[in-house]
Amino acid sequence: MSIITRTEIVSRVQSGSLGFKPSLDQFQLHEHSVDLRLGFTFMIPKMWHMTPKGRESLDITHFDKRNHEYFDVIELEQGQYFDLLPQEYILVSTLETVKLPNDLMAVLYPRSSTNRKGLSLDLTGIIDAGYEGQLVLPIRNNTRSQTVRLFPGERLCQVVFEELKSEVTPRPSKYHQKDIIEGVLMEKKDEVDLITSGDIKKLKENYKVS
Amino acid sequence: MTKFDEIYRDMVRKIMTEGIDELNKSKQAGSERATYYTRAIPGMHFSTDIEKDGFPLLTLRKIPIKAPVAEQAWFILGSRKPDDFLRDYTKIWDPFTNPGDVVTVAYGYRWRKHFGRDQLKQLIDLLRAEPGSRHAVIVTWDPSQDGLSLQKKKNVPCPYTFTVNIIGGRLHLHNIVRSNDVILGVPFDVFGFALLQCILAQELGVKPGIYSHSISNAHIYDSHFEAAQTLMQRENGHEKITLTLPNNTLTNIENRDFSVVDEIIKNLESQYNPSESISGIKIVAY
Repeated sequence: MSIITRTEIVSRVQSGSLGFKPSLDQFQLHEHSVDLRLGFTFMIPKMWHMTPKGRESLDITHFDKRNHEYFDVIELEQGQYFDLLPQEYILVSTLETVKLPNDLMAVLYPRSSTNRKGLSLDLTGIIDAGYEGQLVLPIRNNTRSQTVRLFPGERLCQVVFEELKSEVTPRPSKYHQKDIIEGVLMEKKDEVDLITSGDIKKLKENYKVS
Repeated sequence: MTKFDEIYRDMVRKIMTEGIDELNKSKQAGSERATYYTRAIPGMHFSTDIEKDGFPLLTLRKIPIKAPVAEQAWFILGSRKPDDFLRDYTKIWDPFTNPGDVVTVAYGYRWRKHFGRDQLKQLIDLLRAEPGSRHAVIVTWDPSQDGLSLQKKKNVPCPYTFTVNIIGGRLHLHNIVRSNDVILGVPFDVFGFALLQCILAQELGVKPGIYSHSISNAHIYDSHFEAAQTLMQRENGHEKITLTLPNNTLTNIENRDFSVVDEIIKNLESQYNPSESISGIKIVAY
């Protein structure tokens, strides 16, 4: 594996092998990484909702239901900003939709200036070969008393692209080309049934790597 | 002429002859509206019986069929992004996206996700269990952020709420519209919501009945006056249009089987022999 550099990034973008929408600008492109910008969508986890029974807490089992209802979604208009409160934890997205070819994976890191502001951008980590979509970034304001004002479009994180030793045939992930407001999507039912019943032994037996 | 053509022509005539001219004083950045007059009538309403009078598709001028069908499917999907298949059919929502390519008030997203309730699914579940319910109300307007503000958004919902009632074994939809451009908006919105009515009726196993459309501010832009005059003179011998939906339209759309979209377009196009189109009528923002 080797990390591709500016020239290769540019030539892959030009050939269409690597895609960014909206396209990259010169602030984003670095010698061996690309900065990504903050998007306009902010998802604030809800703790409760109203049901016919009354106020109920929202449990966070992601196995058995669609859960876009777990978030208040704020979609900012052009020119609006978002105050992230002390200790607040939300999900944001990259402005860019990225498209990876089958011979590259990418690794996501926060920008150091993001850390310096007191924000932690939890490492969503690996972007699979063949993935296409925006990237979801869990972000927290770690300060005790400072509100951090976020502007959509500001550079928030960086990605490096690593060449795979051989091309892969990726299966589309469940988040492929999905709107990020879908939240945490369900895992495969076969696996979930075994996990919720605690039968990990059977899971291992039935689903050996061949 | 179809029944809807007659209703529509009467609406246009009423506005052109009895409407009140207003110079719009919008200070919206980049809005061209400040230079436009509108001729408006407050509180216009019509109802048409889809089962008896046919599908309300305007034939007095040629209107694009693809766009409202695809748009309605896009609504049903609850999507916010035109890039999610809509753009393959029409670019009508492109001027209203934010820089993240999201239509912030996308109607279907408002119906199904924005308020933390899937209003459309709950409406179907409710009417399936209690066909006589009068609580089948879907609201698109978010009072926490839409309208009532000098801070203008690119778009706020025009058809901002609708109700569905099953009366006499037929499904009726009442669409409430705060503001409607009668030349371009009305034929399009009526088409889209009548289609939704037919789809909901099919899903609930009943026939579509009365489609009602109430507009608070029904207006014609001065740049459309010429088109309005032409439409007022027009007549044709168009026959009634009957929409035949593919089986399980709603489920197929939800499962992203867009062949049903193409089938609906084909079904309507095969019956559609409109009078000639009127060129040069453009959408006026706001």
